[in-house]
Amino acid sequence: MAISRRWVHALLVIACLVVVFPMLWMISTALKSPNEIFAGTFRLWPAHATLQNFGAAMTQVPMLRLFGNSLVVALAVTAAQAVSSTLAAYACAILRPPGRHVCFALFVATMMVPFQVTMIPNYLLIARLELLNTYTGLIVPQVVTGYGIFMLRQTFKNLPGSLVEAGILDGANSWQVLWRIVVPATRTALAALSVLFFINTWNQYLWPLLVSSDKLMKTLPVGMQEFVSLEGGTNWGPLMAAASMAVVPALLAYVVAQRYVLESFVSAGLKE
Amino acid sequence: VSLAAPAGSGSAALAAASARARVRLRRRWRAAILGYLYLAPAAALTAVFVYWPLIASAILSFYDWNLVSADRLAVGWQNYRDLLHSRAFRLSLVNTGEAAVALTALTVVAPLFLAVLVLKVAPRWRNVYRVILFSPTVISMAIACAIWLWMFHPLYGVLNTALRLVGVQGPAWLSSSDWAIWSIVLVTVWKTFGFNFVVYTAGLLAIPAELYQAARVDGASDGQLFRYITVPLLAPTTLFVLLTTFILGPQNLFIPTQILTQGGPNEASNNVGYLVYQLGFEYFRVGYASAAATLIFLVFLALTAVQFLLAERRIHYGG
Repeated sequence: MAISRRWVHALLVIACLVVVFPMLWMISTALKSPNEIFAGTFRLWPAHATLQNFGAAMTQVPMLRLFGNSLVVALAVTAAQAVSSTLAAYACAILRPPGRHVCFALFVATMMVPFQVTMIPNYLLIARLELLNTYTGLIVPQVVTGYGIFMLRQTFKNLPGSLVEAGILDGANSWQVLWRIVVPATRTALAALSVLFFINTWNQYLWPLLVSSDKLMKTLPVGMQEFVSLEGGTNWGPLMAAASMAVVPALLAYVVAQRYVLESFVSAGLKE
Repeated sequence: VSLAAPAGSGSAALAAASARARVRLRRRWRAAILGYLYLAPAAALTAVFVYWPLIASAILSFYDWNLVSADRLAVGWQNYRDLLHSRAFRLSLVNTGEAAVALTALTVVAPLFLAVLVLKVAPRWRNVYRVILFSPTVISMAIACAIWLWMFHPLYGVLNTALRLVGVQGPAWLSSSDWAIWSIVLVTVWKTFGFNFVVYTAGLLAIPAELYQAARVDGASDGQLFRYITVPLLAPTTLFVLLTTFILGPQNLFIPTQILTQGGPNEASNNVGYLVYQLGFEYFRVGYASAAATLIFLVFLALTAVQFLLAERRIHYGG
């Protein structure tokens, strides 16, 4: 072989270091004292590691409240997306009423509509309903998911037909077939998809930015930006400390379910 | 449903047949309505938050409205005319195009290279590398931007600190009209290359191993294997990656632009998506912003149509 395995590993290790460096630098800065942050030296591990930035992050913005907001929104959106896309995919794949193809195409096409194109009317709608700075306003518009319906329809279609027929012969109605047969048989796919939904919503920035201006109703990625250009310049230490805390849930969900997450991305990427 | 009864049968048989047909029809209707009930939640959400806004945006684009005043002024095509004559819109279009090309080039070459490398190592290690290389993709773009905002700091940022160590005076990155847009592209590549990397890994795994073995028996070098087997057999994946990155990639520029440069300095790093936000939520010119949004959507629709046509051809020729 022309390229030895050792060289391949060396190249990959370098690539990994380059890729994770920004995250390492984030943690490194979070642990540095203000003096060291502005020393202009290249030190990955701080000379005097301190947790003071984490303390500052917790007190300068309502960190726990932001964390809680993000969690409430992410969990609610995930649950609503899982349920609504399960119901729709069940109809498209198994109940198959006339017109389902058009409906399915319209669901999937939403993936292709840029957010910037719909954000103004959506903002106006939520404002008119007086839902700015509310959980409802944060959550409901984010529930739309063409991706979830697309993935689950495929999953449900791959179920053996005999499974559903057996349920119908046993006298189960469509609701019972869904919850007693279809959902249990596809729980791995559903769980993987839910992890994706969670990561996605947790990371969401634009919609929360538009609809929550109240300090106490912001989500983490939006509320965190308050450290940027506070009077007297950006508070880099606390900003990096907040960032370090904010990435934990998404990274944790990813590491726990990484195999499923990567596989879901692959099947999403190779949809045709 | 055909109600034709065999000739000579009694009217009783006819009535029974038609009753059966009616029952069947009713049952089918009931099944269909049941199906629609399951579709209803997702359909309602999609209609209210995606399709209605598309229409509403087109309607708003013919008005002059500042988001708060009670009356809107109908202005016909004026917003579109203004837009096509505005320097900001033209610059953002050019920037978006340039950034799309750069994004596409970078997020095709680097992920392919990494995917090839990752598949050369044992599966145990492969997974470790894959998880690490994909990690930026799962963190929030807003948080990624906060990190890079710090790294780009002209005096204390790690990039210029490192450059100083090797005796180079780094640029001002975000406040330099030459560098700002490329800084945004850099962040976007870092944050999103993982998708294409994973897609390429899957595409490579789908190439039958026997092809490589046979070629190796014939004495082919690694370079030849790549040139004559990997590249041609990966062509469909590459086409998919190229098209999706070119069309969807520019949408990823929005958050970095909002957090890192706000389109500045002097529109140098603006793009069409951010321009809509700026016009609507910073200048409160809702009609004008909606005109821009509607134009973007039409361009986007056209690009997507082209993508479908190309994908169609690919299926015919790719076999």
